[in-house]
Amino acid sequence: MLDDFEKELAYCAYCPKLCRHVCPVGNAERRESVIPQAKMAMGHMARNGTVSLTEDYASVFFYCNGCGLCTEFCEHDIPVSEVLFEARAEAVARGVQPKTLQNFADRFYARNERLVRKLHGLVDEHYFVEEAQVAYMPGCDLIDDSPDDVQKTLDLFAAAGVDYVSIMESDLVCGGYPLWAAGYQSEFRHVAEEQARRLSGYRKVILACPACVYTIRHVYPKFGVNVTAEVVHVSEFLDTIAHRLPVKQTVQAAYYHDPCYLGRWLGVYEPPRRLAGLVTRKVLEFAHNREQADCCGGGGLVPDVAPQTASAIAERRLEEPNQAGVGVVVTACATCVKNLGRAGRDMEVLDIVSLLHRSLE
Amino acid sequence: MADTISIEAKARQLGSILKDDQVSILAPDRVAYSRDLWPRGLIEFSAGRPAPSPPDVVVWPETTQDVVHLVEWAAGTETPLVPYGGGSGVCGGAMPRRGQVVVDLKRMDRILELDGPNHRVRVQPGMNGWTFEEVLGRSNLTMGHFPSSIFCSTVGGWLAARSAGQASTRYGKIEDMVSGLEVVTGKGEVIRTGNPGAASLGPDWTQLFVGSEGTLGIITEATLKVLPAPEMRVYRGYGFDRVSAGLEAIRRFMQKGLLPSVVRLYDEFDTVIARSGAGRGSEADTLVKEVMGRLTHLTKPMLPWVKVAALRAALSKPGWLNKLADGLLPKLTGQGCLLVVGTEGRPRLAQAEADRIHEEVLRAGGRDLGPRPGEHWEKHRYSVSFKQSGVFYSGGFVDTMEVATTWDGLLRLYEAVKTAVSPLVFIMAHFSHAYPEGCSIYFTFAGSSDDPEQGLKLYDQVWNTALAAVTRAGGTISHHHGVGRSKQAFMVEEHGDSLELFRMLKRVLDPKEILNPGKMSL
Amino acid sequence: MIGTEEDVTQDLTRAVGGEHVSSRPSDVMFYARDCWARRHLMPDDPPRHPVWVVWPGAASEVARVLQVAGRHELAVVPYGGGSNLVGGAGFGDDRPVLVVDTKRMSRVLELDETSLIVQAQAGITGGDLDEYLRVRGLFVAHMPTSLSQSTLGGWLATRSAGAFTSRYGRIDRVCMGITAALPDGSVVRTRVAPRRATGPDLMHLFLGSEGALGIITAAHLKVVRVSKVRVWLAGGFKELSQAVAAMADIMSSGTRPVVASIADPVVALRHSGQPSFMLVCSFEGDGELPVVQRDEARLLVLAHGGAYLDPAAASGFWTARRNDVFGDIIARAESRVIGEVDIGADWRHLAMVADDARGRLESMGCGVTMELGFFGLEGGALLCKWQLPEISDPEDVGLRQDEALAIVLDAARRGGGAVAHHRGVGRQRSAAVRAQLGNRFDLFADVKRQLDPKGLMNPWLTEGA
Repeated sequence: MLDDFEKELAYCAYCPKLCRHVCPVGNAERRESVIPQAKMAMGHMARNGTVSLTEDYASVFFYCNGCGLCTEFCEHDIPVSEVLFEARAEAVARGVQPKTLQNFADRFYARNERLVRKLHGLVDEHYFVEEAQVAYMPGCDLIDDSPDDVQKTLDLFAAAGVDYVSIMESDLVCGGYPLWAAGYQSEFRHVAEEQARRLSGYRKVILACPACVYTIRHVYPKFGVNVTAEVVHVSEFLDTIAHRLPVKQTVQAAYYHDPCYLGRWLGVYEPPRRLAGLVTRKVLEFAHNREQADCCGGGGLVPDVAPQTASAIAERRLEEPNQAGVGVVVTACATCVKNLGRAGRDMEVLDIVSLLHRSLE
Repeated sequence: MADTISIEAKARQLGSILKDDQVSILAPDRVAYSRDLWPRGLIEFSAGRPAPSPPDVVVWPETTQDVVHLVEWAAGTETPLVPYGGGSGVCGGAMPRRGQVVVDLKRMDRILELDGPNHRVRVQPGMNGWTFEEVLGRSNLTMGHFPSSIFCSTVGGWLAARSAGQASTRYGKIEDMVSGLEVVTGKGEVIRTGNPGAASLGPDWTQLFVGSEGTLGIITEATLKVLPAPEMRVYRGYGFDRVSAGLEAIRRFMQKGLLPSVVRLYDEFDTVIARSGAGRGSEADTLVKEVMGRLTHLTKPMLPWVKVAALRAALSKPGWLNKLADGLLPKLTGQGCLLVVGTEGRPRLAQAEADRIHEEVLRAGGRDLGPRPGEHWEKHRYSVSFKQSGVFYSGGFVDTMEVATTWDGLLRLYEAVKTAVSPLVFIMAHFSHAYPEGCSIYFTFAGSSDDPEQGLKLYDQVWNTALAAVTRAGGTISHHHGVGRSKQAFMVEEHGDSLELFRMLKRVLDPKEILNPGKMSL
Repeated sequence: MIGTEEDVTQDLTRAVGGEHVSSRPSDVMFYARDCWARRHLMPDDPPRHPVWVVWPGAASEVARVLQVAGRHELAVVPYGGGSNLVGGAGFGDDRPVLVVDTKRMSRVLELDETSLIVQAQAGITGGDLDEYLRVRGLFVAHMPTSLSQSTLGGWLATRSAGAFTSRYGRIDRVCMGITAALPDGSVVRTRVAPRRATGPDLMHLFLGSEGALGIITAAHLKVVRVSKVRVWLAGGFKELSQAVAAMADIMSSGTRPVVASIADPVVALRHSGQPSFMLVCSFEGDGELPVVQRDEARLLVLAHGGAYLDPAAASGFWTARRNDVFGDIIARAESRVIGEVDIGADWRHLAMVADDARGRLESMGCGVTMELGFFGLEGGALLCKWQLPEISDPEDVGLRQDEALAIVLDAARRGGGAVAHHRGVGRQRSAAVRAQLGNRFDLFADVKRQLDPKGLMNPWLTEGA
């Protein structure tokens, strides 16, 4: 097991805990067993048979947001979350994944079915165009938790004179990131293959979900799945047409929060900032921003496995705007909006799409 | 008695004192808390024993009152408590034993009061070092405390073990920075020490609790001094032919009342490491490999017969390697020893202080190497810790020993340790915490053996040999890592009859011996 | 007491030699008191004097003396220069008292000029030690006003401060290790290292313990090379709070003043010609650095609204302060209307405490002068001196003195400060200090019971605990 990562696991196991201070889960839990070093040491021990993988032991693999901040900090560039997601697969293979993730694939499909129906109810049928070359794929959390943002996105496209974007025709609203993160690799492979076929029917697909952009661009190929379409994040696309958007300043000051997958994993830092700058007098930076940005707590299925931890991470992230007395946080990821929004009761947390749309209202 | 209560019963009882989420008997938790960063534990780990003696329970107090209740419970049930911060100690000070309860203080990690005008901050012990400096930095303040463990250690751990940072020469060690503590004793009493212009009557309790490694009380709050963040830093490097000449230079400027932030003199071998590239993308990803690589590179043109075999083979003949380092390295590299000096503060002061030091160093025979060695050091100041993994991964071990003595005995101490340990392991040193009255020596040694069991034997032999040499040469066995388990056998040599005073304090403060027993030779 | 006075005298003679034991009235009467002025106002409580005085010459002799004391259950009072201002060397125990005068232990044991560390016996006076070092181009970084009268042991026992404290710290930062004789008759040494991480710094058990835990017989101290350059800075301020704020910034600026004081307008007037609060600093070293330090500090003076005064005012203040000492002590010892006390406060509260104390003392009719000094990073000390108005009824003087003292201590408390800064606790304020120490005092008493189960050493210090 985990043979591709023998060296990575050992390096972390022998490391003097040098990235513990940046791990969002470690910082929220303050539990020695869930800092990156300990999670990887557990993988090392499981690999070499020092411990046999029980549900208890395996649980630590699931305390990871996949945020990549530890890797950013590591002088050996060890891809901790990638290794841990692989370890999750090992746990799933042995049936020792956390209880909340049992039958996860079934739930994934059930949710997908529900969201497909919901999506069709959210927007007019004319957005589903045959032979479209460019498609928009809103993604699970946007449809589920920020449903208005779907239409708002389409409105923005229209306002910029972009009338050729269709909504992606698929019985899957998701690129499969949750399955990958949950360690359900065979189900993930299946979804990837299915979705790749549909994606490849387009020249370009605009995704609202950074995690799925990352998954499609970088994880699919590792599973031997290739997508011919160009896959971009909605903020990247909007950035190219923003000069045609009618904009006005609708917000005095807002913090911009980098979604981990959009920022660290995909390297998209400036487009959403530029977009925010169009309608915000002052785009404020967190002390930890861009490559150093802290996670919102929503990634890696941590909200499913340890909801309180996910909230604690979000609360920690919002401390800074709270202390500064700034009431708006803008980001570019529906998962971030959801997780930060739940934690920030007096805080307006919104997607860049939503913020831009105000100019149209 | 502790042993008669089952783990589950302990957890139940503790669950009635604390909230459910403050108590764990989960297997991965018990494994993770079974050790700190004592390298011996890593050798054990590599031998397939990750948790030879896990604690029964792990608890996370959130308030001083939680700690009081824990101590009262512990006293009532005679269950030892082991305070735990970042678990980054390298002497086994936070390692529990079976039957014991680990008290993780990291949930007590708030800044309670940042009092800029009075240059102090009240902070809870679980505060992470790096986060702490970040928060202070936002108010343009600094503690000036930058241990190489800063990413993983906590304020409480610093205080418990008398930690030193890389800028200790200017800012002092943690015991110089702390002006007050809140401590829960083994009797469950809350003692608050220190106040401005402390009254004279009685001991300075702060100085008695600091460094007691959790054996006299559990620190629940600290008042620490903070200073304006420096506006400017000035670095300069100097070359010396011999360690002794570099030391003499340091002694001279320190005794002139000059106060650099950074003083680092590397001996011949350590100089090679210090000047080498570090970090990401570096070909040689272990400390020793890097040395070996450099040696090969340097010796190749002159000594074609020197074929540096596999790392393990080389390390198995440390005497040869050490001799090579001593005899050939300075000639080959032409570097000799590197001294890095940094000053900081208000710009004019930092520059004036740097200028004065510059004069003194040149007068003492130093060769000016310009600002680059210091800038290089600053850029890679925490990199060396990353190299530990590679050494252990390749089957070797690496550890560090930080000792100190007054100037008159410093060179003797350095030579004594090198001579004693050289036949066993590869050893190098730098001198990095200087005072007008003396200096510390930071030895790094790396060794190897055919299997972990032999590795353990060698490791223990090295430490016994080294510490015996230290005490014979009149040095202190620890400058800033603490004693824990690893050095406790030498506490008698260290303190002589005054050790009895420590034991007396233990009787007074922790009569039931529930606080971190089995450590520090108590 | 167990045994007769004769037995004790014989045992003591065996311990230190006959010539070093005395019960002669001409000797013992001088040990009845120290320099605590308030004692003079206690006519109904004539000072009791000890039965014996011994002058041991070394730690081993002190240990033997303490064995004798233990055997006979005497009360033991260690005595150095007797320069204490708060009644530290007095005694009220019913047991016969044995005074251990440390002044015969006055030798320098070792001077390590490489490491700049001196080891001296505890009975050496500051003056002798200073002289010993000065001729070698060195000095002890500790300069109390009592330098020539007080002893090294006394400094350590009271955790004393001095004129150079702002740069070098109090005596507990200058001291690197001690030798002490314990009440059980053993001798303990704490080891010397530049710094260590091997448990508590055990010398701190004895520093500040005012002789209650044992007798310090020798100590290692850091010494400093005499600087080539000393430059002065004087700044005038309308408000004390401005001067305090400027000093707070200077202390954290990295300029590292050696002498640092804030003088009252009354005192300042004599030196600067200006009736303003005067900030005084010296900067020492060699080369240009002290000048740069002074210039940087001067910027801070100006930034806080201070006026730059002629540096001669600062050096004049310093010289006068040093020269005044002797006259001052006589005045203090003889006067019944002068009183003074040292208290501590943080930067935020120093000026407030000073104003509070001054206001209330003045409304009593007192003349008041203050000096602020002995700074650390967090604050410093306030030396408050008052002169009572003429009082016709001499009996009333004592009560009025107590009232004045209470006012100042109360001001310290109200400002969250310390009721005793650096002159020890003694009788003068033992109740106030105990209250402030809270359970730390009980801890001290617990430690004392461990080290001194028979309660030989300065027993009155922990009475009732």
